[in-house]
Amino acid sequence: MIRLRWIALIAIGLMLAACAHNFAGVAPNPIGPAPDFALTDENGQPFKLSDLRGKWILLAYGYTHCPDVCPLTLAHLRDVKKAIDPTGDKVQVVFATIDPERDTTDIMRQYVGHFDQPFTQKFKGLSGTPQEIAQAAKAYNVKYEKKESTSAGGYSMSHTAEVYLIDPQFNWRMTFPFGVKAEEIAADLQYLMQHPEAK
Amino acid sequence: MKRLVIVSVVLMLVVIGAACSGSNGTTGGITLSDAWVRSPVIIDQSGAAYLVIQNHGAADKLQSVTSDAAQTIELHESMESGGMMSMAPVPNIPIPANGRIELKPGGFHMMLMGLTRPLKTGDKVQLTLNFEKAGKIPVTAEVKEQ
Amino acid sequence: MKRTGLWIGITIAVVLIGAIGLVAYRYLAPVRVDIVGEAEGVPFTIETIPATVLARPGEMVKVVYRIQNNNLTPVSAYGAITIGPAKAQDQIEVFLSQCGGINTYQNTGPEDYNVMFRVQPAGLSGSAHLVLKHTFTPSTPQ
Repeated sequence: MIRLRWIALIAIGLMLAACAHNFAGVAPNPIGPAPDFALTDENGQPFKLSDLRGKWILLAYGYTHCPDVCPLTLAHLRDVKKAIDPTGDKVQVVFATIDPERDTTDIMRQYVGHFDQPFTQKFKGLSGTPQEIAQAAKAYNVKYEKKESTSAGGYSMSHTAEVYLIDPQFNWRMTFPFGVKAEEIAADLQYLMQHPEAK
Repeated sequence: MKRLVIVSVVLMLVVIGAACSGSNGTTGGITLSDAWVRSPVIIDQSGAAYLVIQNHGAADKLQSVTSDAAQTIELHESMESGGMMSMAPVPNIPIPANGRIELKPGGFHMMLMGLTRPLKTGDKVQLTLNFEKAGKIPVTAEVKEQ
Repeated sequence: MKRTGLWIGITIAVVLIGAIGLVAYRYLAPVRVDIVGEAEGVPFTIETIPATVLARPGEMVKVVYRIQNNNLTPVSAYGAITIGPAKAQDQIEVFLSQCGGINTYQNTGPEDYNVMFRVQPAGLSGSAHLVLKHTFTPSTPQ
């Protein structure tokens, strides 16, 4: 009968351990202030990422001529906002281009405008000069490269396709690699919102 | 004992029958299903199409795709390398014998260029997939918002 | 007669509980993953940080390959990812590898390359001990 109790305790212990939240993203070690950068927003206005202090920020980099990866990332971010903050202004999605040659401010406005239709708080779509884009990408260790292609669609871009989560105190809390699902990002964001001290 | 044999044979036939049934777009050993199209966000840019290819026969290759909805359709593969996502045209997509290949975001996809008409959610698009061995197989894809 | 039945009952109960406990352990316990880097034909010094992790099933893990190119000039290398043992191929999903694929490695000291992955539990047929290996071979720059 003693053996039974031990087995039961171990089983409960394991299950409790398993129930602790599994993060789908990784936190920087140590957690610190989010890097800032300056670009032009979708309305042609000067924009600094730190202008969004006070909000949870979901930041992604990409380009509009990307038919496959970037629309999926934006769809995920739309789904995360729909799940966590559908009518509010607590969760701000920011999409910055790494293809300033083709992605003008007008194009960025059209692009994010397609994904933020359900919300009153619109997505930010950022562009700028190649130098400003290089600075903004470097801030989050985003690598990007033009790939000349035989495709009729013109050149494509190789780029880091992660999602960065920044908290209202403007600390960089989490990085999600491409392939993580919207529900997983939403679960992590929800957990961090409820447990601000968590790492 | 006899009842056991009869039940086993019937079960076997049911299983074989179920395994051989196809969904939309079946020819020879290849079944196509769950075809969908993502309309480009910016008009004039490329759209993407995805589907599931189930192969019940010998190894084959998807060589090309045509549709009246796009002037050119290319096969592309998205992949992660060196921490970056990139995309490249591929000459064909190999389909292993008795295998299943899913064209999905982040992997293989059909890139639709030079759209002949604007695509709205709910529209149906006819695609014809051209396989090296199985030949031309048509499938109907639905335009979906992801 | 009654006592024999009781002993048989207890034995079966203990075996069942032991079996359930073992299965639960295989599905819930962390999986040990050795992080390995090997240079074949390229003059690299490779350090993995950490060298081994206890990965909770379903949790995203980040490890670092610290790679130093000891050559006098930059070297282009291809990083091939392999997962061992062979039966556990599908137990690790690598989401990102900054040193996977073709990269040019500068000769200006060690650089850190992130790798992010997630494991499935050992379960009934998997392994509780996995190896994630990057093998670097020479390549031409792209």
